[in-house]
Amino acid sequence: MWTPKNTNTLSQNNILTFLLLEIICVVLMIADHSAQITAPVRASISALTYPLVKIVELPQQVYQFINTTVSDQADLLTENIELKQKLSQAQIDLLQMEVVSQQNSELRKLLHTKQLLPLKTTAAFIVNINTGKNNQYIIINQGFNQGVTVGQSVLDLNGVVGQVDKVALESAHVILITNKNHAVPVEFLRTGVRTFIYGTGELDNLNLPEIPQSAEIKVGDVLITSGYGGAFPAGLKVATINKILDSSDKSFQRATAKPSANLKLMKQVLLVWSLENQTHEKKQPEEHAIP
Amino acid sequence: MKLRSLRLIHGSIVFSLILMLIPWSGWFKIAQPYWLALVVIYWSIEAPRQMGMLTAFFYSILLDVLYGSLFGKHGFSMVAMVFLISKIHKRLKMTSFWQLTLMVGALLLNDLVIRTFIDWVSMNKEDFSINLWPILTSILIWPWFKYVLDRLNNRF
Repeated sequence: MWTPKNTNTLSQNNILTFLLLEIICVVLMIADHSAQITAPVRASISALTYPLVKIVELPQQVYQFINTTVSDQADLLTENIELKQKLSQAQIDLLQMEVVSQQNSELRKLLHTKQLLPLKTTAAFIVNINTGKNNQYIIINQGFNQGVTVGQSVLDLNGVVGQVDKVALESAHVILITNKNHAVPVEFLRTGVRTFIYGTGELDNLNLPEIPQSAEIKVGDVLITSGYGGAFPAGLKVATINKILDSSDKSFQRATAKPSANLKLMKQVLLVWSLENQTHEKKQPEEHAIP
Repeated sequence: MKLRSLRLIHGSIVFSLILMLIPWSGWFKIAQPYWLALVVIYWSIEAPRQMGMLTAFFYSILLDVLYGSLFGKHGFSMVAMVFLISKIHKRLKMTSFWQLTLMVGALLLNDLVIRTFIDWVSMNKEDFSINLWPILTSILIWPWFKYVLDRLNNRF
């Protein structure tokens, strides 16, 4: 059994499988640079991993279930009253909103500008979060089966969170706006100056290195998506300027901003469906636009 | 060989994947041991015939899908690690406990270097921070980890 010849062939086989597998890995990594090739592979493999994700989610769901069943009647009553107050306040706001949006659309007609399209959103839960400095992303519990596509924008109630960049069968990988590899085309709400906002790898910090020298900026300025590039719908709140930096470069001003979205504490996010995505559904023009 | 031990091998690997998926926050997330690598190291020393490079490749691809990382990244480093162990597993079985623990640390460091290199090539970023905490916690946890798996392995 233990002849030298025998072990020799065994180790040669080893080297062959080793090289073969490493080559496969390299090919996969290169192929992964275009999402179209590997997206279906990912989707089909994720069918295998789906039970694992469910198992990890289970304790959270059990906790939520217990939380809702065990919480006091009194708690529920006070919560109910609070919610009712909030609802009535929201209804009053809505009444005013209708008048404002009516006026807005008339003004826009007069000015011949592009109409803000109504946004359709669905809620998604966050399954996993990675906030390491090099790669910041979240994984949400909706994917290919729910019609999620690469490039779809993700919000929370306060602002832009990020963008879907990989889709699995029942989950999706969302790159955060604070990721170093991410940039959003934005404009200043007050002055309309357009620029780009880049991630820094820190959850409470965004970078604006390319503000035109002619623009007038100040701390507290709000940045909204400009809609250029087509990745994000126009007019969503992104960040607030919190510091204007001295720049050695004379051609641009620099500043840092704080994301509006609550990236540290979010549990739930909203997926935005563009009109192309909803063509298979009926259009709902009555839906309220997020201004 | 035995069906039972095969079941234990795959069961423990799947369990390690679940451990890796748990969404810890803050410090726990940064210093989380690389569970999958620990299980793969253990089995490729104890049962080199069952825990081959193909198995390691398969589970690393699953990890890539679960983490949404670059396809084949974990596979590349994991296959290299199993290959290295397959070259020296007879000696590793003989070495003293502390030397083995040090070797585990060395293997994990090698693995981290490969993955960081892949990140570096694929992302074109110069400022890169390497997170060494998972290696430290993995080494600290290795003795208990090996003890538990040894017990399970002997019982089945």
